[in-house]
Parts: sequence; structure tokens; C-alpha cells
Amino acid sequence: MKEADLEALTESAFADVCTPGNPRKATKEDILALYKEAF
Amino acid sequence: MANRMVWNGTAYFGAGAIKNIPEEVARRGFKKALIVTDKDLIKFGVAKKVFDVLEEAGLAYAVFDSLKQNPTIKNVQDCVAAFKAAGADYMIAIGGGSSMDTAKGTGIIINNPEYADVRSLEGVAPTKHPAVPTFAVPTTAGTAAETTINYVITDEEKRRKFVCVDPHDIPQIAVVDADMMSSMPKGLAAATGMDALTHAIEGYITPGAWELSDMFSLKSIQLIADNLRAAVNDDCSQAKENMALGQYVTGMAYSNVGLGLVHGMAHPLGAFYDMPHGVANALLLPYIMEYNADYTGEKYREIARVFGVEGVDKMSPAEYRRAAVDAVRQLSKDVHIPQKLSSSM
Repeated sequence: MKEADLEALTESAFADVCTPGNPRKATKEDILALYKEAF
Repeated sequence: MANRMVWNGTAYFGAGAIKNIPEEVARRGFKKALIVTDKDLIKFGVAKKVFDVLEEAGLAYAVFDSLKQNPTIKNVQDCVAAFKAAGADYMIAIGGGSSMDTAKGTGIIINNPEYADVRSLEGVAPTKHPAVPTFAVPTTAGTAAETTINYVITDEEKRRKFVCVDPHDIPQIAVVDADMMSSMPKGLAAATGMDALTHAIEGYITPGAWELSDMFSLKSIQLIADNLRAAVNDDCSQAKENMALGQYVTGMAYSNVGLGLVHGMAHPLGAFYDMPHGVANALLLPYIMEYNADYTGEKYREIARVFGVEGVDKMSPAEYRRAAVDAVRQLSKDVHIPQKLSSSM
């Protein structure tokens, strides 16, 4: 996994059909931070 | 507000359940099956267990095995062509989510040819006809795709996975036979078991959850918490049977109420790196549980309780939330799931 892909991954996750089912409404910044934490 | 629940019409459980397939075929008057599976399941003799049952009963079938993990638009198109070429009138999907999702997309397109462009099925396509009747025989524990109304296809060109939600795609018959899962390698058993736990937890805390779905989700979390270690690390057959049930039970809930951010973030990892879906979910789950903790009411108390954490009734919200996340992370470590994306590929 490349750190350079993080932005594109974040955009894709934000638009994913499963994401709105999350109990906490995630912003793009939240998602990017979570990817970085998991990375 | 009314809640809709969509489930299989018929489902079998227990070791040896595949022996019931011929009777169900006869009862429905089906003539010829297209078996949808993958090359590894052919190579390792797993699909053969079903072939033997069909042959003994004198039932005709053809085989389609040209699909990959994270199945693509082309896999579905090829499977549609194979179904037509075989002159089949029903399908038997044998495999994990990849085989079952390919069969779902195929079954929808065969009976709704106006959706032959696979991309047009993204989201909630208003198809008019139920899919081709399908038996779903899971070989992992698992995605629960045998009892869900969802399927996920990878668009290689656009480098993304898209989710299709359609009650018309649910398999008519699920055959949850732990003998079909018994030869899973340990890594696959761990990843698919944690995938099932992810379904159960996301389906439990999603805003669409309600009493009936919670009943399934919580029971599933308990079955997985109690059995995944022994199923993976000790090769225990009773634990594997319980995992087969646990992964199915969560499907009865999440398919109807939704998932969450773990899946939202796991899908791009599959599309970009072909990362196995179970591994992606398993790895992300503890991080996102932590992120969601303050938005879950008392539900993490119940998760901690079914994980066997003692004294949860005396804990503060911060304590039981911590306990639930810790219990999930410990299980993930105990079945040797990588804890960082950078070390997982």
C-alpha cells in the first residue's frame, strides 16, 4: 500500500454506499486520519 | 416506520447438508445447473463434494470457474455467457463471496436483460424479476452472501468496487455445511471469521438496527467470540460448525439494516490492491470501533458482555467502550490478523 494513494482511497471510501450506515457521520478528514492511523 | 427483512426461502444447516440438494432440485423441477465456483475450490476438491452429490443423483450440470477474488464486471459477463451456453435453468454457487456475488449478478442479468450493462446495477436498481433460482453453498465462514441481498463487483477500469442492493438477488436456497468449509487455510479462516464479526458489529451499531436485527447481530457476535479462536487455531470441528452458523446469522441482520465505515473503507482497499475483503475489514475494525465509540449508546456494553468481559454492568460508558474495543482487538491478534495496513501487503 502506498501512502500516495491515501487521498484517492479517502474519496472512494467517502462515496461508498456502506459509509452512510455508520453511526458517526464521517468527514473526509476523519477517513484520511483513520487510514493514516491504520497505515 | 415499517422494517423490511428479506431472508432465504429455504436454508439447511449442519455437516453433510449438501446431501439435501438433489431433493430440493427435484421438488423445484430444475433441469440443469450452472455451477459457479473458483479454480482453487476445484483444485482442492471442495467443489467436487457437490459434484459427487449431483452425479449420484443423476443431475446434469456445467461448471463456470473463471472468476477471481474481488470479482470483476468481466467475470459476471463471462458467467452470463456460460449460463446461456450451458442451457442451464438454475445455478449452484460454491465458494466465498466472490462466487456467490458473481452468481447473483449473473442471475439478475439473465432474468432482467435490460441490465446487461453490469454497471447499471450499482446501488438499488429497480429490477422487475427475481434472479435465476440459485443454491448458495458457502465455503468460508464467512461473508453470509448466501443470505444477503447485496453483491459487490469490481470495476477494474475505474479502480473501484460497487455495491448492488436488490432483494431479487437473494439465493432461493442456502446450504450452510461446515464440511464445505473444513479445508480453509488458517489465514482465510481467520480473515473471513473477522469479516463476519465486522458484519455483526456494524450491523449492530448502524442507525437502521432494531430489536429483531439486534437479536441476530448479538447472537452472532457471541458465537464468533466463543468459537473463532478454536476454529482457527485448534482446528476444532464443533467450533467450525458454530462459526458457520454465526456468520450466517449476522447476514440475516446486516443485509437488511446496513453496515458502516469499516466496509466503506475496506472496499477501496480491495479495488486498489486486490486486498482480500476479510483481511481489509478485520484490520480496520478495531480502529473504527474506537472512532465510533461515543456514538453507540450502550451497545458496546452488550458487545463486551458477549465477549465474556466481567463486571460490565458496573462500568462507565468509557470503561465498557474500552473493554469492547480491547476484546475485539485481542481476538484479532489471537487469530494472527495483521494490525497495520503497511504490514499487510
